[in-house]
Amino acid sequence: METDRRDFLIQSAGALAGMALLPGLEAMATNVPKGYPVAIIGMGRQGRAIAAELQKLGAAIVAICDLDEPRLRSARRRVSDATPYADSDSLLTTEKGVEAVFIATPTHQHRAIAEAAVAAGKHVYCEAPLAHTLEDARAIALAARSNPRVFQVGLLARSNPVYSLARSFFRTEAFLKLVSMRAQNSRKTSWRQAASTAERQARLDWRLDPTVSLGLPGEWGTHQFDVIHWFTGQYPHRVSGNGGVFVWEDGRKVADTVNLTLEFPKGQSLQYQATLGNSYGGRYEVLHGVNSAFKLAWSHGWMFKEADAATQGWEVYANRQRFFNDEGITLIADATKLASQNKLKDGVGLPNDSLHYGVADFLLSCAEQMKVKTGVSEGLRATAVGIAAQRAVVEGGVIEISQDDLKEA
Amino acid sequence: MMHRGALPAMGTRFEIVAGGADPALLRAAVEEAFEEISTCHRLWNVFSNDSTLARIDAESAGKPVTIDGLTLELLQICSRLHQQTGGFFDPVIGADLAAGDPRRAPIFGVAPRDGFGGIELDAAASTVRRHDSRLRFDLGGIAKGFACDLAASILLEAGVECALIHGGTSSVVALGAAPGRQDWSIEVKGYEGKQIGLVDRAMAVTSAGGGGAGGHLIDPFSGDRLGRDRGGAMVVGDSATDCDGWATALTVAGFEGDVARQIPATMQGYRLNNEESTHMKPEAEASVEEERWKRTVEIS
Repeated sequence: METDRRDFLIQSAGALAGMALLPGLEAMATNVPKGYPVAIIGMGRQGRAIAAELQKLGAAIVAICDLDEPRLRSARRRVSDATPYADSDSLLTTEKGVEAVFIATPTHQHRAIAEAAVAAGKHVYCEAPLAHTLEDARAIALAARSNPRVFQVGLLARSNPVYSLARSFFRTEAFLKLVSMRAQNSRKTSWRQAASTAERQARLDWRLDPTVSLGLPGEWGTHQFDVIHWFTGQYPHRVSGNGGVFVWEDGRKVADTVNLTLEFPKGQSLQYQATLGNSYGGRYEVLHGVNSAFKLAWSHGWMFKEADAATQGWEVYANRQRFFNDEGITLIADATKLASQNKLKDGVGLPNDSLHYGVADFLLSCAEQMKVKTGVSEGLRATAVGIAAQRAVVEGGVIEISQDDLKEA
Repeated sequence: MMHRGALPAMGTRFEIVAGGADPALLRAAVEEAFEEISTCHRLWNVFSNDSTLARIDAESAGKPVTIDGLTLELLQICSRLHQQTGGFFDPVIGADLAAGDPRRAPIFGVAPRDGFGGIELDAAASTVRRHDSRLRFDLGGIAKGFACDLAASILLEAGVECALIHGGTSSVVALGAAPGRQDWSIEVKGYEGKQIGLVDRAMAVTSAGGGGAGGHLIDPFSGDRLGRDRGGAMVVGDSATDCDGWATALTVAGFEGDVARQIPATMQGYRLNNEESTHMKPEAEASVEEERWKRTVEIS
């Protein structure tokens, strides 16, 4: 059968998109070791989401832990064959067969658990931000360095196939030169947890406790700041911002809306906005280059080309979406394979949540002692930026971020 | 103080009206309940490649697919209801539904009639296995009820003891009674008594009408769509999940045969007349202050 020009060009699109350098989505799932014994500490929303992805990947969730009894009970309903624990020390000393531990507790509790997990000789996946203080984050980094086993931080962009694809374009003429950056995270939610007693309420509402919470800049922003760090290879040296409680006037002190400017050493800046008061636009990052702009929205990504940028042959057949006056080329992971099957449109949007790829990468690293994509250094630096950004909101001024702030010790 | 929230999920609209003294707690509890309903939506959405059902469909026949605890729990309930209703409740009619729905992937060849009998659940290993790859799950007849029950458990855990939860107005859970009243009063068109009062109870209604030409219910034994003139069923019980399954089975099997006699003693089944369309309306306006909830929505 003759390969026609259309097929050839579509298949080239995948190659040009850098897919030859990326693992196929299916290959990634099948390479993950089945029955790999893991434990999860912290069974709130994130812990339960991690459990769901582990189950999809065929890992064996041997033990789960949460000091909050109702949460532990709810988690057992999802992971009925796991042994439940009310404290992490008991889990770590009892479950000798567990190879890897996922830490999804409140941020300010990460340090003690991470240090104990490392001391117990486990591979560790620790949610981001790494800690609520630089001191704790550095202590975690120090512990991680003392253990030859894997330590991954839950900054998911670096494992996300759509982001990997965009980054491969970022370094070519298709993007050319960074002009500016913008990101937002908008979600209408109170950020409160429901509890039947005041004591439990206070414990679950740690995000609204100004003594331990990094607020929106730390809890949400850290993940998005790391996208910029990863793409540009730069960390901001200055951050300014403001914020306030504009929506949820329930006595809280932690801002429900924030605006930040992060300045980078080469002169560009990131404008960041996050709110709990409105959900329009959701979560995304936009990077403007001379030849194109990328809009990255975790499960989806688009490239918007400038009219004067050179046209590649494959663009004629690329999948496109219209956004008012602009037309975006959809960034499709696994494009080569899909194009060969004439199913390019099926690839619009990742088939799994971002977390799936982060968890899969971690399990692969554990089983094969491979270098993780998001190590403790990246986690520490992103956390340092998140801490500085929260300070900028709380203090209402300009916070300088020195090179020392980004160092492990 | 009442708090009302709504969420689009499972191709319909879920609503929760919750009463209590602390508005912040009510809102937080309702948000958390909606998170659970969203989780159910993600797990069992037949139109998403990311769902558990899509993963089961993608695996070849005979191969076990690892499933999460919630899916296992729901499929175990399905298995029990399939047995109790003599097979008239069968969530493995996805192939027949797909045949008339251009949005779903076509299944080539005639789907076998063994339905849920062609499914093997291994609770110890948390796996499900299909004996034939043409068998397709469709949990549309039960997932809304399960999601409502799950939401109710979240509200109770948070200390909310007064709430009404419904999914598309066809699956309902009532916690306590409406403030200032003896119950949550639900108006059901097609039901002789017109209204039914619920206190710490669940209910579900199913009608052969709706769902486009030819109706949306399928006889699992013949694969034929039920005619719109078939009427419907309402079931009241302790669990919206069970009510959903029984309401579907009674609508398909009718009230004359053995199925109606098998309904557990803790549940009540009611025939719904073949009105032009069957409706349900939660009547809560007397106590919901300005949060007036007085609409009539066609069930789906």
